[in-house]
Amino acid sequence: MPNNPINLQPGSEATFVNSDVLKMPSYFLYLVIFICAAPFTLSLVGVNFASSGTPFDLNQAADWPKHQQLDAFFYRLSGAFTHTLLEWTAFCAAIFTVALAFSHYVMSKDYTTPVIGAALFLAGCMDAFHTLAANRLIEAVADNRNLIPFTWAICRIFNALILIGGVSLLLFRKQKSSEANLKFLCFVFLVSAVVAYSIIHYCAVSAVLPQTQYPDSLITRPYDVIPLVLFALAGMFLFPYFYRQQPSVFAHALVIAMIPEVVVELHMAFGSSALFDHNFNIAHFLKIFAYVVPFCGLLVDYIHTYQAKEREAEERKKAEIALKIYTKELKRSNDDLDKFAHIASHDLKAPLRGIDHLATWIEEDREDQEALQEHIPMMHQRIGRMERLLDDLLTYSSIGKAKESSAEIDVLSRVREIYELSAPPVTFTLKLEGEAPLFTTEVAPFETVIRNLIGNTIKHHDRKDGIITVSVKALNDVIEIIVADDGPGIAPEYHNKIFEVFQTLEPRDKVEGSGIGLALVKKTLESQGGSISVQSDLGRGTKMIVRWKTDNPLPDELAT
Amino acid sequence: MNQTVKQDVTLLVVEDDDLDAMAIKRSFKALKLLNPLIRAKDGVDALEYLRGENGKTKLNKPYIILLDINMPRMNGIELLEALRKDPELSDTVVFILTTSAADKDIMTAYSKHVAGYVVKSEIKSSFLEVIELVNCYWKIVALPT
Repeated sequence: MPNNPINLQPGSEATFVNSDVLKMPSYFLYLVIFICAAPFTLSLVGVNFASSGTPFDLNQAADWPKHQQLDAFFYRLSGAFTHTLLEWTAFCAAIFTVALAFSHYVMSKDYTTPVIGAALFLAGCMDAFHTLAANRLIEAVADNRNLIPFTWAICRIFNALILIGGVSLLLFRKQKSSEANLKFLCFVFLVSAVVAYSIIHYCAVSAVLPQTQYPDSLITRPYDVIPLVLFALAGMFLFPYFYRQQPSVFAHALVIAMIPEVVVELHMAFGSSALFDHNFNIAHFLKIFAYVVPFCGLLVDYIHTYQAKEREAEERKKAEIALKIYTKELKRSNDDLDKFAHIASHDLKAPLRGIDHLATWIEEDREDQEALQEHIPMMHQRIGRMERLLDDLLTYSSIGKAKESSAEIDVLSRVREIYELSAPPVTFTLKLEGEAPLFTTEVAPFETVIRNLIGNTIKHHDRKDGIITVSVKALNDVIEIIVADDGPGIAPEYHNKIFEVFQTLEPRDKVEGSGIGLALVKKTLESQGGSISVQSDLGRGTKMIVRWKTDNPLPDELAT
Repeated sequence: MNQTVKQDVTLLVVEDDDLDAMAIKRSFKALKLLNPLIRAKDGVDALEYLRGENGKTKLNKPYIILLDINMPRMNGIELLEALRKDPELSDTVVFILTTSAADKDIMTAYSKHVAGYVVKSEIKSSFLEVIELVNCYWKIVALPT
């Protein structure tokens, strides 16, 4: 029996959820706050982020060489370039996010990531349309002074709404079959994309747009108050609620992402009064982070999911190995049982058949008094053998089943007692060597082992003046007891066989014995965690080395 | 082959149980067979007879072996393996006579080319039928010499 039970339940550690695992690390939050506060702090000490754009006189420029003209235009347009770069960086972050979101979905089958990822991507697309229209890369007639702030505000509102919509979808829509879900999501995505493009297109081609900038009032860009309120509400109520309902690192990052969103809108609504000014650039710069934060969350989530998958695979592998070991053990124990049943039936039948033979012969030899005198004692002998076999079988099968009483024992004096009880011929000698501390153990099994070993040496000794040497030695958690004799020895090829049930090396008719003694010893030792080995060769005597475990006996369920 | 040669076929009984060996001897007597009957106590003992080792006289061919399976030291299956490996003994005709009715034993025995497999419990208290079978067998069948 294995003494170390193998844990068959995989993932016993994984089922225990660490709440820290479902959060972005706190330093990440501090970093985001730091980045969001940095531009404002810097502006307090006088740093100006506005793109001024060097103006030049067009009339003079007519005389300049072409490349100089071009350069002058570039310098003039630095605000537009900065705007484009910042917008496009944010758009790229949105692309990365949606790509990662879908690969995350493929691995985790969690709808949150593709839905929010797609929402962010749509917002990014709208930003891109807005940028393209602002740069006149798509057809636009509206005045940029109005087009840029107006479509910006539209984009921001769209951004806030689509995130809120996505989260609400996840919160309130019943999960159906994955195919239906996917179809629905694709439909929503396409509709949103068309809506996004149409809005920008409509703004770009309409000649008159509402006034968006009021440089002299407190709220310089009133349209930006709408997304400001939406983001603030989402960040304070909806997204934290969503995080509590479906906790994930990504959902947590989404809550954090509302910080840059709100700061962006604060800069816009209360600061920016002209295109490409100080607050305009700060807002565009911080908007990148509004995309990068969920991206980071997704990244961390992705890594966690990947690690969890890997751990799971490892656990599964471990469980498979454990199962294999168990199967093997089971097969071995089944084979043992087969062998045992086979052997037992043979060995129990043998004396019965003998008795049957003898009964027939007694009948046949009725007239022959001399033959009868031989048959009857033989019959008794067979009956005795049968009885002993049955007794031994019962003893063998009950090893380790009942808890035996323990007591403190002194090995050497126990050995001497057992030797004397074994009724050795007077010509035999027992030598005791070494010493071992007193220890507490189950007495009956210990005596069974010693009695059988000493009994064997006496029974199988080929001379009258046999010497039995018992030496003891205390090792770590075992007492080593060596029972050595100077008898005929056992050829190495039989060293395994002698420990099998009912195996004898001599015919029973020569040396009476059930052949269970050493099997009993071995099973007893195995059930208490010890072991036995043999060192012997023909003509060299035999050494039986017993390692008796001295620490606490095994718990009951393992012993059986 | 003539009658006298056939009379010379030896029966080597490999059997650890004294009473079973005795029962075979009695059946032999009851059938008034004159063939030499030799008893080995286990596989090792039998090999010593077949090879003439350990002070035993080597058995002359032709002979038939009546082999038990469960025996101390070397059992019947192990002896069969040893016989089939030994070029000099590989042609030996062997009948299994055992208490084991296990399919596994029967299959293993036949895969090692035994001439027959007889289960002891099926033959009541005497081995008369087995000995008659062996007697018929060597009367009719030409054995390797």
